[in-house]
Amino acid sequence: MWRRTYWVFRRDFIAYFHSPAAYVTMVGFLFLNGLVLNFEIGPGRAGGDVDIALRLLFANYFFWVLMLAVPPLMTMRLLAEERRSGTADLLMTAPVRTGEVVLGKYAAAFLFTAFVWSLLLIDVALLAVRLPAGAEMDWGKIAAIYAGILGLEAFFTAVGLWASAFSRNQVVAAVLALSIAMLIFLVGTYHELFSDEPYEQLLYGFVSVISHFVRDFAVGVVDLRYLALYAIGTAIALSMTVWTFEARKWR
Amino acid sequence: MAIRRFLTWCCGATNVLLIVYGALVTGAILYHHPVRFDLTAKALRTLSDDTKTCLAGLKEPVRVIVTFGEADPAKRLVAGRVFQEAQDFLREYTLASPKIEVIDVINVYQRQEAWQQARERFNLTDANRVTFIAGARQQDVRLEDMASVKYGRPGSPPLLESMHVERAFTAALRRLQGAPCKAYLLANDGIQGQTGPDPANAGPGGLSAFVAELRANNYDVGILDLAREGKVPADCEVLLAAGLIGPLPAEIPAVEAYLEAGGKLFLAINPQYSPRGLEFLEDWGVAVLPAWIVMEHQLAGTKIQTEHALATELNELHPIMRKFEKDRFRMQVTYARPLGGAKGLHGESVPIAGVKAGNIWGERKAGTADRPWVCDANDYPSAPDGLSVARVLETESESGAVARIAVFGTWTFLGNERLHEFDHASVLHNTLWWLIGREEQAGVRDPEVVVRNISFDPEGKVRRTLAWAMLALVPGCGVLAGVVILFVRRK
Repeated sequence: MWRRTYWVFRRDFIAYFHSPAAYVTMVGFLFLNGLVLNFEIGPGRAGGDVDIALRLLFANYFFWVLMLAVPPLMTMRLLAEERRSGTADLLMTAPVRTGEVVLGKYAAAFLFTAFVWSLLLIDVALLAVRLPAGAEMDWGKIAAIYAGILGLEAFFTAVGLWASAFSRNQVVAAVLALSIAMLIFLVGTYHELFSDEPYEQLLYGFVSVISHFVRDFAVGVVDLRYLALYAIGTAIALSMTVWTFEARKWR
Repeated sequence: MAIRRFLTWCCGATNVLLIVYGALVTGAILYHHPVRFDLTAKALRTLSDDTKTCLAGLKEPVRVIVTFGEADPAKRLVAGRVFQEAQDFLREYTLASPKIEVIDVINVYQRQEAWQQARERFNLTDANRVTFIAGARQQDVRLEDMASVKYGRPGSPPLLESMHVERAFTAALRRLQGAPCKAYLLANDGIQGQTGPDPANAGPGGLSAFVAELRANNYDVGILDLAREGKVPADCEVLLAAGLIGPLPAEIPAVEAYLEAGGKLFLAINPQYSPRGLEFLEDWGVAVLPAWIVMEHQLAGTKIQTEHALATELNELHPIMRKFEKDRFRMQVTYARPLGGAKGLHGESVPIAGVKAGNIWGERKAGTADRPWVCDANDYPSAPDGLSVARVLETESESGAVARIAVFGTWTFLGNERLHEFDHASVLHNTLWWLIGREEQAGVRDPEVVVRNISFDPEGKVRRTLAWAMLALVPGCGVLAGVVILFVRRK
């Protein structure tokens, strides 16, 4: 099983590096984050304080735009393109299970998303070398932030793959994935905007991805409950992708 | 075909339902059993033992309200940073104890109505503080309590140096609980005047921070002129003698009478200046050995720099020390004399502090400007296993009253300059808790959060370099990589 999954993964992962869209995404991503970091680290909001600058870098509007937008961009092509070009039929009849196809494509998309996010470490390293003597970058805090980013991106990537299984059109798949991710994102902000009920505050606070980052990951704490929440979401989205793709086989 | 399609659909739906069900059960279990990992370099988000003990001892629910808002733009940055840190720590407190509840966080400029309501409801006088409320009692923690801020010229922005939010919160919680402990600080001959270890002296060597630290931790500190009063007040729970150079002959009987009645004495003595104090100690079984651990250059003939001064590791034989982990505890003294074992009259003493010769000293007596004066155990044949800088005694008088004494062979660690360095404040608190019989409170204090700022040069060259690298160089590398790969692929 793993061998076939690996071949699907390999094919899709390499395809990313041959696509101009991936480089445009990466360069745009780095430029936007460089812009944010320059703004935050300066005499403006963070006043040169590295901890605050990092916190703002990993929890500002651009950050959330990228968190929501990168996975749909990476996944929109995966299954929709197979169906549009007709290669989905070949996949269906090939000696490979639907689960293996989905898992291989998911792993490729997730790893490439992780690679895109890892590029941000270049900016963090640039900050680290500019710290005054005696002060060191708290890499543990960076590790916690990355644990959060990878956990949430794993979830959004699975959602993106599910959306890609719905449509032949890549743009429709991307918009659908973005809408679902946006819905998940907004559910968490509901309690801050509308609710004063304690139990609602508790419930929506628990599923609020912004709170997860601002209160825990960005301060260097990894709460396994949130990672489990993302893992659960990922498992549900992937199983639904398999179900959706499988259902098309019989049409 | 239709049946097969339907069966496949049912199978897929069942799979999804099973996964959703399993996920919900797992989620519910995890929600009630949170597991958190603090990945920060110095475990800054892990509450200290001290705080955990304090939280475990909470008898009633404590509500917390945070009010902040700074009109002065120059100070807004610092206030924002400190109150963000305060909220982060409150989250850890609420997760650690169900008795802590944060009822509101109010930015007074954005939520003026809520601020007015909170003012009336909780009788708040001013914003920019964290208020802990238990029943009718409440304790405020101000910005100055949570952070060390350096104020420059009027109009220039203040500089945030470090934060000790957890220390301030735990002290407030401790103040909130129970009746304060009555402590008397010995004055008159027990102090060295306005330039020395005097509670009124706010200079580097003064004890104003020592008194403030005690008051912040639920001690009701009174100043006692024993030569004039003639006896220790009956409500004294612990008698403090820090930087003792006396005592006067008239004071010794009063202290001894207090101890005979089961008193508790905290004594930080500078043996160089207090020969009478040493005689008093010998009567109570603490022998001060003839050699110095560390001497100032006038005495030793070698120069010792403060930053290179003795750093001791204390062993864990006593309740005062037992909460310390070896790698977390450090103490710095510039001036200490080894305190020998107690014998005879007043019971056994327990060594609580040891200077492991091999751990600290590199070479013997190699005092240079860049290397401290050194010694080894051979210099002190009477203490081959380490030299104590402090001792404690517990004695039972004929009336059955149990007196406790803790003696430190230095007082410099209590001075304004050093009290909040290393683990000095922890040593002080743990010692006092042991003296007053609350050793279960002994713990380790939180580390300070040191603020790390990028050092920008005045001309802004560093900032420009960073800007170029982040905005052009790094994305440019991405463009280059893309062009190269596409070119190779096309070829």
